Amino acid sequence: MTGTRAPAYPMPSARRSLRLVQRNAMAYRHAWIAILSGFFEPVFYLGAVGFGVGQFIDSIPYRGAEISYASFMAPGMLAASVLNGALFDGFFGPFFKLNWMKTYEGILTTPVNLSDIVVGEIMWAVMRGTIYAAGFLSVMIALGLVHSAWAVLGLPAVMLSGAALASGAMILTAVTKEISSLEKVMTLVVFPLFLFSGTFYPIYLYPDWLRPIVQLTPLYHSASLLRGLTTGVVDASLLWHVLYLGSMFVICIAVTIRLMRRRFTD
Amino acid sequence: MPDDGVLIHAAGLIKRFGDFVAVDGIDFEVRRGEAFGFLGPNGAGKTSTMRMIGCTSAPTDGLLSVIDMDTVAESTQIKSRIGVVPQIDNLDIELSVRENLEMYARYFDISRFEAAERIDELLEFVQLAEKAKDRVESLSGGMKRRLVIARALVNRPELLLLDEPTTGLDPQARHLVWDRLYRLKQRGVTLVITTHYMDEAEQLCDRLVVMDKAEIVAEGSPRELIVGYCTRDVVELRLSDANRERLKGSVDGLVERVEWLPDRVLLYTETGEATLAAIQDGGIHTETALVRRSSLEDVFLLLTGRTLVE
Repeated sequence: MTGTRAPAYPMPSARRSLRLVQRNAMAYRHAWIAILSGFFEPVFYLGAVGFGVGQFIDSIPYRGAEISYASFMAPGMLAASVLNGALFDGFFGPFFKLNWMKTYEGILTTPVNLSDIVVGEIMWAVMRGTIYAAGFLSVMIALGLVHSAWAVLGLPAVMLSGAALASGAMILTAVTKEISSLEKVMTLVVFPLFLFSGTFYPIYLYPDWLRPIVQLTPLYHSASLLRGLTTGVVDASLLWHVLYLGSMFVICIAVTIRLMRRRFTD
Repeated sequence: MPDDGVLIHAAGLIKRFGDFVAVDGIDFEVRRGEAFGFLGPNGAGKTSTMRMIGCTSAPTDGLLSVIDMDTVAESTQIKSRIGVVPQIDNLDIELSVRENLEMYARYFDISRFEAAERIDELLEFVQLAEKAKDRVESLSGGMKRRLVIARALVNRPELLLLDEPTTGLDPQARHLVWDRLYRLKQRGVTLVITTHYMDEAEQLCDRLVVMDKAEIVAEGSPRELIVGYCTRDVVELRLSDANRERLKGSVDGLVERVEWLPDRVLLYTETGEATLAAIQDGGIHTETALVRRSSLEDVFLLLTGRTLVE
């Protein structure tokens, strides 16, 4: 009995991960106003910028097509709302549960393990994000901003985006210990992503050196994928966005589980 | 294989955090149905040991089995059969009292129907039935503690781990918790308790180990420890400086052990009354004198020292 043995960690199970979804749903019964706010935010942006500012723009050239500004901008807002939801459910919520409320410590004494918790929180984020997105897509259809039957793939695309972005947000949860970091992340990471990822205008406006950098950000891929589907400007490039988001999901969830285990062996 | 009736078996158990050794090769066995205590000052390694038993922390080395299963390889199965009352209440503050128990039942895969029945029972058991719909934040410290205990019982555990179950509670709340733990023991639930309250250990534990600096320094029933490590009586004296000096000259041979504290002198002897009479007959004036039976606290201080641990 010498040497250090490698700890064996149980794999996540869908059944146990769903317990986290149930827990969050139970907690939200007490805070249904917070649920509604997630739906209205992108609608307000669409109204103010898409239709307000859009009045002064005739149309916008996009990948060989001419589309109205609101049609261009609406899928960008859809992607941004997925990002917001992913941050809320993948970062803020888990941050408080991990550091302040010690909710996870209580759960870890039950058969539900750390990888179940990570998977469960991401499942919850994806489910909530998808419900919002369904609402927003309905608004887009009602306003005539959906131009293609490809839009039926909008919801799966939202789910993929949500899974990728929430997994990324969970990495922030695993490495953040100070509440002040939340604000830094918002101003230095989230807000620039929201404004500059091709959400409000096409990225061909950027100089050659800047464009590849923007193309590395997840929101660019999410917005471009959704825009392709709702405008009907569909080509093989959309597969690259799918590949990017899928890889991001797989890598980030694995990294999160690893980092979270480290947090709990300190 | 460990003997029948052994619920927890530890051999050469070690927990290290980097260079820091929290638990340094301890051996112990807990038998089914008994109340077993870990006594020791802060930082002695009690909580680290409890977390390893509860499968939330993996041993660095050594052997640890709970209900004949390995705490690392079979943690999920073990967790489904034990209950844990942690040192710090980690109730889910976003849920109500009843929802806390409902959700815990879900974590253990207990059906909603079965859970509803058990929760009614448990809320009665810990006297929180009227608080079922309240938010957790509105509960007093004692109520939160009882809710944590109820939560740990949702899966009808064979083994209940309690890390300092009554720290921070007022005397009424402590006695209520003790009463409930005693009832659980009578129902056959094995209890493992850490504490630094001697009265708690004497009240609850059939057998205990004293831990100090990551090691086990003594083991036995409270009675065995007192008999084994201490005299029957302790005479506590307060003396003037002059009388203190006179006592120093005459006490040798009179008692088994003397402890010179700044404010008091403690004499350890089998015959407290006779010892005190002999001292007073010898012309030493005592400001105050108290003869008492020795307690677990005397053993604890003897084994772990009087130095403050911080």
